[in-house]
Amino acid sequence: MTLVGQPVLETRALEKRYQLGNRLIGSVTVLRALDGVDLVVNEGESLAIVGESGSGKTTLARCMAGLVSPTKGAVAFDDTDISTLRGRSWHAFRRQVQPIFQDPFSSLDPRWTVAQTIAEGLDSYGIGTKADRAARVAELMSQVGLSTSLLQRRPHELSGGQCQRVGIAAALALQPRVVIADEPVSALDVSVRAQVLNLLARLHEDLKLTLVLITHDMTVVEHISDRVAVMYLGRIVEVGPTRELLRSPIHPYTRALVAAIPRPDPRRRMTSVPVKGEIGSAISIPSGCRFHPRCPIAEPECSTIDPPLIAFGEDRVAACTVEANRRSAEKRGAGKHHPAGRTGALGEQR
Amino acid sequence: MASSVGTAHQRLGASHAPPLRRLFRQLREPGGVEIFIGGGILAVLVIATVLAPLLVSQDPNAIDALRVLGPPNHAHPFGSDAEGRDVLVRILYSYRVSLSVAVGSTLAAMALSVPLGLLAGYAGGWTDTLLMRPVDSLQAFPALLLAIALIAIIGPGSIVVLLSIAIVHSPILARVIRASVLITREQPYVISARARGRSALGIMFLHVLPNSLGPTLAQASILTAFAIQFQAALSFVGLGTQPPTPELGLMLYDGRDVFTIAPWVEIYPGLALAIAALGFILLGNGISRRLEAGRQR
Amino acid sequence: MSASLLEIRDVSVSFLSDGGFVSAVSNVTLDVAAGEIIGIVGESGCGKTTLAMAVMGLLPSSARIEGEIWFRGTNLFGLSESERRKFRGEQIAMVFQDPLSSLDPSFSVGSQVAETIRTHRRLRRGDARRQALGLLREVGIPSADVRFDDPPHKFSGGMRQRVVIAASIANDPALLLADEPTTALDVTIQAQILVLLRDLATRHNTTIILIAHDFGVVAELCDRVAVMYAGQLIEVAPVANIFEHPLHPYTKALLAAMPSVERPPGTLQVIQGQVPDLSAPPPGCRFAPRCAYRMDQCQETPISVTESPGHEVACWLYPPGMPPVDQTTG
Repeated sequence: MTLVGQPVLETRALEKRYQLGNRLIGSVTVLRALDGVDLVVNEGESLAIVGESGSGKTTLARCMAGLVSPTKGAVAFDDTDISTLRGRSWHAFRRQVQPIFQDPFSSLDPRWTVAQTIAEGLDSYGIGTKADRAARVAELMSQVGLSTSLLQRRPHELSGGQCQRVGIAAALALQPRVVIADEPVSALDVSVRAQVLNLLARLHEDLKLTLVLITHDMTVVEHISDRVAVMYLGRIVEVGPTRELLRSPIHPYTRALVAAIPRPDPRRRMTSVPVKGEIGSAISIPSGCRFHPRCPIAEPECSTIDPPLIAFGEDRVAACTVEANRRSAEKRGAGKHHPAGRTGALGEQR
Repeated sequence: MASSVGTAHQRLGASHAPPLRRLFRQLREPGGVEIFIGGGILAVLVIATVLAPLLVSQDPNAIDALRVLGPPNHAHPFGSDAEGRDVLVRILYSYRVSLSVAVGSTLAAMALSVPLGLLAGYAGGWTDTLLMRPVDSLQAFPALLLAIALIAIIGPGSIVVLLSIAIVHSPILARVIRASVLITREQPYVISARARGRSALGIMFLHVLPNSLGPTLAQASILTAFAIQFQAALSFVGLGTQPPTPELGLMLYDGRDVFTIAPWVEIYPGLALAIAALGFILLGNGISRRLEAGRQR
Repeated sequence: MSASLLEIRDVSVSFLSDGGFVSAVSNVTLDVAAGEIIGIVGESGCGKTTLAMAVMGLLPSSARIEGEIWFRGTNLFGLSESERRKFRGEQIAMVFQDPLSSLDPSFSVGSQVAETIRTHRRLRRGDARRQALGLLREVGIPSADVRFDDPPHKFSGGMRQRVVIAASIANDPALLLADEPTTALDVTIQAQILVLLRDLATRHNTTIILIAHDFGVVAELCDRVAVMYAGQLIEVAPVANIFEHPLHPYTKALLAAMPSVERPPGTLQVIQGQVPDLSAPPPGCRFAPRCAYRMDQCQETPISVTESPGHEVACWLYPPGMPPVDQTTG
């Protein structure tokens, strides 16, 4: 478990809306990509943000990196609202949060050599002399496990895994405090994924990097993250330490997500569908709890009450009033019957 | 993904191969042949044009009264026209005008349209609307009408023709580059560049422009083919290059009357025009196909 | 030998490309029994899709094909294109990874399913429509009667895939090839589709060949698993065996490289090296250059050996003639 410090990056009631359709003629539909997100990233930790399509995780990543301005709410870096930063202070912030993208090939300028790409940050910030930069580039190459013989190559001459490593090296060039990796291994072959994941884990350890990992793949999360935040339709629905969350998920959506992971063990096949229905669109978000139409434990009030993140113990929160009520009822009456255990150590009935 | 690894191996081998092997490899790539032939034609024309005074000792305007409407022979491979002037020599010299006006108009069009399209595409929003509306309106005007209007104001001549064609072609190129830029600016490498501290201007010139230029160059080449014919057409109707400067359009005009008795006076300039246009079209098509293939890889 | 529905016999497929002939599939022999669900697993470029396309007869004309594929007593490679077409869609159907490109955007989903039916059977329009509606309900399209007339773009990815599956089972095919049918889908939707496929297979007694790169998906659905690497078939085993006693070094390495919520966190096993260039593949076992156990012998193509009932492996670590490896140490 990495030693975790103070909050370095924080989102406060973050909202991001997109207008679709013509503003002048016809109707406009609003897509609520982020619908009120409060998230804290602590220095030195490795946080995973997990969600499926429409969850808003990529938009959240971009807002956190300062690449997209929110519609409402704020992103704070070291307790300063980044939208208030201008000129020099903005420039200073820029280098502190670096992104890594999903597609290794389009993450690199096809006309630039590896050396040029990695040095770009150093170049724009005017850091060091030419010789210094060359040395730093070489150092970064070795950090990501690439031979310097590749320095003059262009992306189309490299494999997917190599391109992704170049992307990581380029992100580290400016010695950022936070690296936000958006699906860094989804576009890679399985055996190559291992290499890149191991690399990210090692860099997180060695460089004391704060790592935010965006992914839809739960299996990746346990290997590299201390904490997990689960998103659904623009909101965070659960946050908790990785192992605990995976072992005993609280929110019904998290449970469905964990249950839906195909396990490489034919003895434990899914007996039934973990969750019914379609994911739903960020254009027409259900009333009340946004998961209620698909939720197996939905109660009548779930269609009107929009639950906030409720605390379930020391470091766990989940946005589910039904679960919250259930647990407080349990605490009150120890002998109360509680329906077929969905939670429990991994491996029990889902 | 593994196939890209395989191709990487192949390409690594390719870049270390001897030059001749590399040439053949380039030829086999999609568009390779067209680029080679188109480029070859143009290269020959340009060289012949530039070296014209060295290749032929005659003055294009030299009159040989004895050879009026003379058929092609070894002294005058393309025959002589109604004034006794050597057709081949005239063609070589007229290429100077035709090619410079055509290429010049394209370069001028690019100088106008590329910054426009780049800015409009990259900035988006109101900048895009403000810049592109006038461009769209311009495109609505028939080319010939626009050219004639300009020439009516300024007066005929090669330069005016060059400018008119440039203005007519700019909207097309501006649209092409803008479309390219719209795609390029969404690419992760552009967003990464922002994250690494690049200024918007830096991103536009270092990343967006180089990666968006391809389709624009293909289109520009094809527009140059149009330009050659357009400027010949304008000269044909007397609005472009003025006599006695040799020019293909003018030669076509002169050759009309004597077509039945001396067809070579009309045919050779016509062919010359067609071959030059062909060169540019092949080049443009070749570039286009190369880009297509590159995108699929 | 139980009734084999499909017999792939020493099939090799190569393509002409820039660098010469690319050997995409090399001497693959595999039997598929009627009613089973078999998974073909491998990373990209291993030839699994090419093999499926060979079975369907959808390879480009520039492909060089050797060997035989016997389906219910007919050698598919000996057939003409028009004869092949009779099999396609009726006896052998295929579901692809991207549902969007499998459906025509200009027509309603219902009509596309109905069209599949009418292509192979002479039915009146009304009857075909009724059957198509029934199929859409069977694959779980909600309000199927209303959505019958909707075009594909009005459906989500998971729903579209269901439509494609409906069209593929429309004529009750004996064999269904599913090429990474859930890779492009969200994980909760993937789970739904996998359960759907399993139910359909049981209900219609359809044999399924599932192509996947994810062992988890394979564990969910398959009775048997075949592992391919760089065009070669290297191991085939009942699903439990593949996970409990993988024999081939590549299979073991692949399983070890997969992050899983089961395995305690720690570093993942990495397979050194890269996939070989298939235009100039290494002689013999194509995994040898990356294999920790390689021997000189590996330059000759290993012979497939049955180590235990149903479990075959092609690796010189298990040479023919040796007694079967003790499963507890394998």
